[in-house]
Amino acid sequence: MTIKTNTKLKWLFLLMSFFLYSFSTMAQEKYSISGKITDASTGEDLIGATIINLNNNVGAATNTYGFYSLTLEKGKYKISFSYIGYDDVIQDIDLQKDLKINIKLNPTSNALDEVVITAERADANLSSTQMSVEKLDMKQIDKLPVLFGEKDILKTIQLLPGISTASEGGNGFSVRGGSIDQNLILLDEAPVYSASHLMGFFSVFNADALKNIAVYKGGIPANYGGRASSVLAINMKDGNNQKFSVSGGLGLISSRLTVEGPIIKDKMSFIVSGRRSYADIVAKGTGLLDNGASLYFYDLNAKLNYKINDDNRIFFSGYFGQDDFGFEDFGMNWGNATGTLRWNHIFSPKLFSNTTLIYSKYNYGFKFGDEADMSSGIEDYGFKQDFTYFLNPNNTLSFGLHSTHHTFNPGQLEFPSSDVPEILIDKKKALESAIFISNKQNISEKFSAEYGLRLSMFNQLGSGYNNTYNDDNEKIDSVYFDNNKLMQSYYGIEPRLSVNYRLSEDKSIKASYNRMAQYLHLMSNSTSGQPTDTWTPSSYNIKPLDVNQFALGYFQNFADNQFEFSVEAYYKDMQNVTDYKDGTDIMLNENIESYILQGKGRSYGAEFYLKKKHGRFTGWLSYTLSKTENQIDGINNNNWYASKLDKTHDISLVGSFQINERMSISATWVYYTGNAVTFPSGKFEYDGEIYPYYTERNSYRMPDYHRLDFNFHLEGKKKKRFQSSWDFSVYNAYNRYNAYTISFRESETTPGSTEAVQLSLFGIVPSVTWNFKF
Amino acid sequence: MKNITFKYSFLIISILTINFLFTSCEKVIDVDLNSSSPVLSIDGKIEKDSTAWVRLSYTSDYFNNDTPKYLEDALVIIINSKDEIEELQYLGEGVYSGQNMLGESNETYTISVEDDSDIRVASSELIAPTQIIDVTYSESVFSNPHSDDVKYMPTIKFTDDRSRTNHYLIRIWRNDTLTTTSYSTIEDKYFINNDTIEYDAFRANVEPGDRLLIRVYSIDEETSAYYSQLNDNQGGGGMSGTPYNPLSNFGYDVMGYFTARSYDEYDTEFEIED
Repeated sequence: MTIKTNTKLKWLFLLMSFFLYSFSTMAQEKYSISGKITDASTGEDLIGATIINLNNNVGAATNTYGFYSLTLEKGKYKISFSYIGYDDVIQDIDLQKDLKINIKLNPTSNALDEVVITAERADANLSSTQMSVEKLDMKQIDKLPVLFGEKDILKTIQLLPGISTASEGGNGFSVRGGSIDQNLILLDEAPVYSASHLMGFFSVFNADALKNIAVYKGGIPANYGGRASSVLAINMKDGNNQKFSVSGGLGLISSRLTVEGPIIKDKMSFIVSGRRSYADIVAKGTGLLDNGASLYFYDLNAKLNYKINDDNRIFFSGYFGQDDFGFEDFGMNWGNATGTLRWNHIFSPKLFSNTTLIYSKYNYGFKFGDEADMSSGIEDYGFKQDFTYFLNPNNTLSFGLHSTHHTFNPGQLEFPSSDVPEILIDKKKALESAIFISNKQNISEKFSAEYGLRLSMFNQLGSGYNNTYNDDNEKIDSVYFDNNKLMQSYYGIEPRLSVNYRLSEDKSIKASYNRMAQYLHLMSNSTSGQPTDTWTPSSYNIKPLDVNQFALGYFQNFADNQFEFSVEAYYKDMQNVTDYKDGTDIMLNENIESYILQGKGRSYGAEFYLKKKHGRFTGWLSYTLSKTENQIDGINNNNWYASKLDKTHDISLVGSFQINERMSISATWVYYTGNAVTFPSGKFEYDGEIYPYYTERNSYRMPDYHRLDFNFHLEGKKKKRFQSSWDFSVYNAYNRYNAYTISFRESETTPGSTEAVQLSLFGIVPSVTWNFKF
Repeated sequence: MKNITFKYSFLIISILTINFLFTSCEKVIDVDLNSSSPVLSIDGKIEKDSTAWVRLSYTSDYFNNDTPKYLEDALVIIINSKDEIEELQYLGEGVYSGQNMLGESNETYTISVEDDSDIRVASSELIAPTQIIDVTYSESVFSNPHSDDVKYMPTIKFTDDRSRTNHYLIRIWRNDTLTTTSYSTIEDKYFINNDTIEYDAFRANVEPGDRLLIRVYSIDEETSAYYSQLNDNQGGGGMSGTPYNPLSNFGYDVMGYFTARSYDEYDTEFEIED
């Protein structure tokens, strides 16, 4: 809900009252144990490692930077530091004052025990107040079969419940019915606006450079905002601060190389990781492609971190990637660049601070020889200040502020070699800000909650015009605003709440509610997202998207936490979802706002999830039953219609079996109902050609989709330092030609008659990848 | 031109990329489509120095390959800017034709179609024709450099009146077959313009010995927009947007369009000069 009044500030008052009540019972003398938990072999921070007071099993977990704080009364304790896949460390501690204890955990020596899906504590799914969140370990992603053998986190998360693919092979994904622009994708906190290479078939994220990922589908914490459906938070590796290492691989589509190591052991390290596709090189060599053609992508991840002292650490990370497709001097390119500068500071054993400066840019361009150039994109400068205050073992307070300056370039068309006037669609500027506060509270032994509030504000800034349009998309009034003058403001009050009631050792129920405001909109009329899609701000004519989401879940573990089962039901209410009037040209349209239609939407469903986390066999089965609909005046005779991303059934079966220390086999099988599409109900003839005639929006379905993939992973024999491995993958093992598009046309063989034509992209696709490390 | 050009540039690059990298497969399938109530479709035009021509038919089920139902007893009238009126005569198979009034440049024509239930009216301006000056050829950017089967791209040079914004439709018949059923429309302001426009017909791959008929139609802005919408009409999911009915100048409840247009044509046999 975005508001222009402050009457609902009573929410804030109630929340603050609750905070005060919560804290009033805690005025006792206590001391804190705090520090960092890292991987002994690489120095990487371990996120989500647990610190447990074994006297009463009360504990804490490390945050994104490996920092923990546990406050206890004066006394003697036996404290356990643990992380799955690592040997536990247990220390006897005599707590007479605040203690700083940094722990290095050693990876467990038994390779078979390493196979875990998540590295958090064994019953984290039951104990955490968070629901609708998935955290994936890169080791698991490494071994799953993927298209062309390219490890891809965006394809892997599409195997999780509630997350579905927008189109085959693509990286666009939908979370609980939301469109692809409703996903906030953060790489080291910098937003990534277009996460795809090669027309959407490969993600921009090089798995070798990544440490961990978390995807929030609901119950989204108050420190995240700006998108309506989900947050995908990706953290890059910090770089090994113990020893130099080189790793890489040769694949069918691309090769990759990663170098990391200490600059100052234990204090300063770096990682540089690059990828480049070489389909074009092969094609040129074999004569399939002219030497003047370009057809490639590349990307580069780099990160530097410096531990100034125990209380201060800085990180600098960046990403740069580009796609280039062209023939001679005719073609297009697109790419992202992000940069993040972070400063971790520990003010006290209880107060952790993270200050972040962020840069992000996405740009695409066309080139038509010397005649014309076109470019479009978005550029951000952001600042984030986040605090975590570890008040006591039962309360962890998070608060902070975020602010981002956006510059939108809807499009520029220039004719450098002629006097043809350039076409410049006015750039737009906006300042998006938010303050937030939340508390994670253990209310009783069985009952915990995380509650918070995010207050967001969006200001569109001049220079520019606020235009008023008539029904024929004609401008009837314009008001001009000078540079940096306020053109339009929106405010959002976004409460967040998650509660967890532990029914027993192995069962819990959870519920959550979140309200999200989204002020940025992706101008796109494709389902899966294309590099030519353009971002635009909420404005005088475009209202922010508001989403209220309710979720309820039941969680149960079996066999000593070997198996996890959950079922979650959700309901999302959406206001101001966007679509376009028929015939809208999105590109270089200076009056695009007049073509946008806004209405309401709803999505609801149930997600079933069974997961085996440990042992030689790991994997999961997920099933989502859902429905997503929109109602927008001006579309489908103003009636409700299915969203393009509506899928009734979505099943993913993922299994991985560790045969022995050197070999493992993995398989995935996916099935889902075809997307809702618009097919013709009739035809008419014009100018000697037959054209389809449509009556209802998205009233048909693409054929159901299913596919089986395999991967066989073989570790090479261990040599002194050099390690290698092979991955043999088969995508679409039973060679099913699934429908990518269905189009309707006049028959080529029988003129005058009409036919439906299905285009399928992939048959069976085998691939092999060789990986190395030393 | 801008949207057409960029849209198709992107589409071409996408298709080439996908074709190059992936093992795509196309097949005719059975799809169970709903029936719909028939609506009137009007295909009408008047060209310079020609009489008006209108075909009135009804939409039919998509896979119904029978001849469509025609509207045979309508009153069809054409009116010019001077309020001169002619009633079109019914010739059969839904076709109504004028007998006397010839299309003239810089005239706005209005067609009225009246049947038992309604009167539908649409107008279009007949723009003065351009003149094709020359057609030259160069190797196509999409030609395989390692093949002996080299393709060529015609470049069409034609006049353009810089005193106003002009829209053109370019159609090329190669050996009596239209090279593409898509409408290649351009707007003159996006071209280097010294009272002439040079248009690269990069989608027409021609070979020496081909007989080419090239027409450059002068059309009004609204007609250009309609042709663009016809290009969008055939969607299909995946990468494409939601397909829709092109908006007729007869109104929302009618398919088809009435256009007034002129053209110049160039008839040639393509030969490579030594």
